[in-house]
Amino acid sequence: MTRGPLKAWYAHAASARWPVAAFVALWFALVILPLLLLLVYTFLHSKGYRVVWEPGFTTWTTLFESGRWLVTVRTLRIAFTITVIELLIAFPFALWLAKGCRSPALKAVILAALTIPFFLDLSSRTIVWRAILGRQGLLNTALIEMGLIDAPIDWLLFSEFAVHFGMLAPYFPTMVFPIFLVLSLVDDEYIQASQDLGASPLQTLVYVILPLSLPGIMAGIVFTLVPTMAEYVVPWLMGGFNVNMLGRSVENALTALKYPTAAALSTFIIALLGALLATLSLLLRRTGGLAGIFETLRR
Amino acid sequence: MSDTKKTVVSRRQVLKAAAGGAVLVSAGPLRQARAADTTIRVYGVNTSTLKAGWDAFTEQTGLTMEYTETTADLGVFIREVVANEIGEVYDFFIIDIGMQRKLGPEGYFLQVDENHPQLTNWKTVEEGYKGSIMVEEGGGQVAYGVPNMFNADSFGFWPDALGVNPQDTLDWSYMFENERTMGRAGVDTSWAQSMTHIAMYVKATGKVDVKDNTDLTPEEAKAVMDWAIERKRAGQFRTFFSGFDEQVHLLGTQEVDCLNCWEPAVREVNNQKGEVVVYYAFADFYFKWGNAIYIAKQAAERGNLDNVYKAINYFLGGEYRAQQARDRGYGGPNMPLAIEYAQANDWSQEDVDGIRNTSEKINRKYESEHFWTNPVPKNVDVMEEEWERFLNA
Repeated sequence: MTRGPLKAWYAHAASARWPVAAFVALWFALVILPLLLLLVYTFLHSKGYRVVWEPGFTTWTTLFESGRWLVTVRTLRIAFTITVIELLIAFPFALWLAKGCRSPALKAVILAALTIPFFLDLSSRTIVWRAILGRQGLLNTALIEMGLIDAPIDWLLFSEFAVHFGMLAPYFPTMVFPIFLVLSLVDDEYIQASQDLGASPLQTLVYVILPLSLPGIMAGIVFTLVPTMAEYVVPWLMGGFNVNMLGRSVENALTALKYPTAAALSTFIIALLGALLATLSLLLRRTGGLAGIFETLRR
Repeated sequence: MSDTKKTVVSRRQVLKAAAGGAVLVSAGPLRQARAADTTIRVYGVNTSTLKAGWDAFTEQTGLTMEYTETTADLGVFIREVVANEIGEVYDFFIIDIGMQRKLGPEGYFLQVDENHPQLTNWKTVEEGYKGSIMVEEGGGQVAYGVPNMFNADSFGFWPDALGVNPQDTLDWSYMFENERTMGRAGVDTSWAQSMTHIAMYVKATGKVDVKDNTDLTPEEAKAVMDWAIERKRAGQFRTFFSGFDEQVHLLGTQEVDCLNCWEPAVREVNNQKGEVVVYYAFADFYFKWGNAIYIAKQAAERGNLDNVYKAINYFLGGEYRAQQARDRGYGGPNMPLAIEYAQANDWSQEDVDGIRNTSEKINRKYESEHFWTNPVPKNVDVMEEEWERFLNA
């Protein structure tokens, strides 16, 4: 196909309605329909390694009576905590990398270093921490040798602290990259103009840089929050399953072929996320809603 | 139950129909090809593979082995056999005994032809391994499995940490409610393993009235887990583990002092670090288990049953039995063949004695109080839910 016909086809497709309709149809088939099927499954229940095809609320009542729903709440709590910590660390780092780091070579090295986690299996990276944080690990041994403690500190491993700690490094790049990319697009003249008009560095940060970086922050939150909710390796290797999260709970249900329970757990967390998103939309209504955040990219 | 089975069949039919006429056209030639094929395809637990590889198997039988390893995850196994019908590909399965109680009568396993001309080693199987443990639910007469490997589980220990001698006979209180092991015990995260251990302990000590610790009623499951939650809150358990490698790691690094692990894990730690940990002899009970060979129903349609039985006969032979005893410490239903094989093939006296010790060890354990593993409890749903409550506590 030559460049001319391709351009003409693109112009035609851009003005036509069918691409949007096709995309919506595809999205419905690949995203919404499976979610609806998931919801339907929650109204079935299982018995003796079999799904019982009788609609009812057994699975939902069991989910709440047994306290299993707490797994989803715990998962959300940990995922949000990790996301907030990552944001607090990643934003200043991304700001420095985009606007403060003047050496292109150093910037290239740092960006390459940030991609390293994606090349190594998460379990391989995580298991290393056991040799450092374990009872006979490097840290405990060093602290005992220095006379700072008498006995090994147990909570360094197989605790909620360990789970949080173990997630920090793997999910740092997912927060840094989107913020860095958006901050790189912010015109330096905006920042200069703010300073010329007498704004303090803090005011420039709050009233200029932060609003302009919101699309990156939102993307970073999504790319960090969603995978941490599904995290399985870190709660296992660092938490020793003492910190029971959604991934393991679903897996446990599947060992007994309890598909309705797994579906109910997933549906419940989607519902919680939906409620949070609705609340966020209401809070942002005055500032143009969620869509308004991405308007800054047009500038 | 029958409704669900119909649904599964229907789903398969839809899939087959969707695949179009190609399947129908190719089915005949494919089956003929499999009948003449000398490759045996097995789907089974990873501990039933030979560490030395399958060359000796090929040498003895003229067959080639394609062994697909799986964990002992029972739900995954049932899903693969029932919903995904992997019997279309695999000739036989190796999984926990007891599975035949459910999948045998439902038609997924073939009845064992004890008089098949290729199954010459069947006559060497001790009677105790042919009887009730291999039949269908309700103690019928139909045998669906060929007994393969057996042991009785307890737990691994660091004797120094507990202040006990390796020769001592202990009881399960060390795992669940002993001050010396407070915060130092590791528990398998699988409900099928650990929940039945805890249930047996509270039953044996009279703490909770339990009829069958492998198939707990809702009331029993709740009472057992209420007790376990108290122990968890008291700080008894350091961690929960999953899989063989983690057992070796936790015990080997002494991240825990005791672990309700598999015997090969203790063997592996001692191989790496010297004789530092012990798989203890117990006074109160053992978790008695075994796995069996189950022939896929589809094998009959493929016309390669002669080869299938020839392969199974190898598993019942002295070579396989001797290697598993030496490499994993596991026994089987005809251990004299293993000793005969080792002696006839000039194995060292140490290895021969090792096999004899393994055989005697299992016999001794089986004489003690014990219970059989149960992969298909009727109350599986309640048990899984209660185990989850324990993990969340």
